[in-house]
Amino acid sequence: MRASQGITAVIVGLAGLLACETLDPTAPGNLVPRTVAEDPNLPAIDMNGSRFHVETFGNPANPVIVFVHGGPGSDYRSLLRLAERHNGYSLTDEYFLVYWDQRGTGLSKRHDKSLLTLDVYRSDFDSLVNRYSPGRPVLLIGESWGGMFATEFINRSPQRVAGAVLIEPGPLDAATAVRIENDIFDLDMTSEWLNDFAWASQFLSPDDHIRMDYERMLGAKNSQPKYHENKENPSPVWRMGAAASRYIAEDGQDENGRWDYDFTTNLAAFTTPVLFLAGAWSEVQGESLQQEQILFYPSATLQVIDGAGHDVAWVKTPEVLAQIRTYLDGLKGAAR
Amino acid sequence: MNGILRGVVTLVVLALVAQDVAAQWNVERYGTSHNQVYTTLGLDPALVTSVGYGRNIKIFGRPWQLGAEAGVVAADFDVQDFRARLQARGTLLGWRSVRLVGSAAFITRGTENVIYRALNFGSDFTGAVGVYKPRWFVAGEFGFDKAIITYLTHSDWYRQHYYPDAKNGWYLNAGGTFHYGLTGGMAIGRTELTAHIGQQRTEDFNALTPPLYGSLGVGFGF
Repeated sequence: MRASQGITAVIVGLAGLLACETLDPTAPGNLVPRTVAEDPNLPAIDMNGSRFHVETFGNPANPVIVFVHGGPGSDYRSLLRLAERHNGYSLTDEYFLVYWDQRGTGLSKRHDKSLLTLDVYRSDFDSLVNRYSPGRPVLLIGESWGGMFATEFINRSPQRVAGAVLIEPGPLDAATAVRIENDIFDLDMTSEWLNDFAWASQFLSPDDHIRMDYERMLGAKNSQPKYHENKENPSPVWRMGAAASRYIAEDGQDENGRWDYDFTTNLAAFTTPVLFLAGAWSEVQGESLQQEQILFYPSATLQVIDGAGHDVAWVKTPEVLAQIRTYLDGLKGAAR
Repeated sequence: MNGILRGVVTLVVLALVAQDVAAQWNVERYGTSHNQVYTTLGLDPALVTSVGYGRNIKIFGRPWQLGAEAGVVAADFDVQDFRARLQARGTLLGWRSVRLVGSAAFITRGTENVIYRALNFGSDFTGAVGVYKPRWFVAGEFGFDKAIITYLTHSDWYRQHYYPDAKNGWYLNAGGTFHYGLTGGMAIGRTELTAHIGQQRTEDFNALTPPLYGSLGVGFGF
């Protein structure tokens, strides 16, 4: 075949491809699910100038438990198992459960950087508590970043919180963050996941929210080996909120990129017992870190659950639920 | 990292022992042989190793190199992550030893990762301005690599655990990358070594991971 014939064949082939029905990578629903801004059938509330994906379970007259998911940038999907019935018990028997995708995450509406700040996140949290538990303190169950965010709320408003379960919370202050930050992601330049991530940039550019969120999923399986999470049955998310993940983390840093937050300055005012939970396999945010972090609270205990890593609430839901139930029963006993 | 060091050492050793051939990406040396083979190793944008062949011809009296190149991601020698290029490269303008060099490439590339498998057709247009001497050159380069159309097939893992309704199909205009930096090369005996280093950004000039690219190459002519 002459060169000109080869070039002609390539051009004709490409023209054929272009004549096929093509998909738009920036269109909602193609690569990642639609959000509440794009799908009116999703459960949602309008609050604090945005639209949030929210589900509630149980009797609104019961004490309120707010679930605070991880990330920043993840969503509440992996915590839904805690709303199910295990061993004949469900939290909905006694509590009103509020599940909420934080601003810019999960199926909540996307936002740009200016509205993805810790101050806005604080305001969202206040609005949510005021909406679902006006005039009475709430119970909090926070996982990973959610444990940090719950602690930040307790630090600001200890009188608004009736109790808290923190499942492998991330570093509660900057000094701790600096100490563990190099263990969070596997950044070995020869690792397959990181090369896949870099190689993928030739196929899809992270130039809009949808492609950014989709790109973040490339690290879902192998980017954090020290967390020892289940890879065959991973704790799910609806989508990774890439912008929220990036900008909320950046807001915890100074202009030089050094962590400068501290969510522990007023925890001495919170004398209610707090339950910490950790997976026995977890290396980064597991038992050793939480043994240190319980000391930030005046009254906190740590329970370690065998057979799981950082995704302990997903992998060992009945065991986690049993610990939560025992803790909540203890709070009721103390109140009496 | 030991693998990378071994690769770099191998390239250097190959260059030093291959005294019987002359390879060149230096446009100033295109007229000295008809064929070139070469190999490169670098971060572009993943750790990738490539082999290529170039045929030097004259078009309107000017030397051009037409060639083909194939590369795979070197981490675990992942042949699912590949890139093939058909390319042309030559001097567009010249004044004394200063050259404006242009290249155009048709690219086919593939990847398989935890959430999708993809086959992409794209193009790359790069220009370089610099000083080209018979034994060395140094130039600044600026190029644009466009992912024109990409077929995505989502993995069962992604569908089962994350998004069952993810759409497979031909995605048009899904990405593009600007790259700009420095390139240079030198002849050692009858062998040529080249290097590229620079920064890459998305087509909307957003940051990429990794933000830098760089590669080393060695070529032989015959």
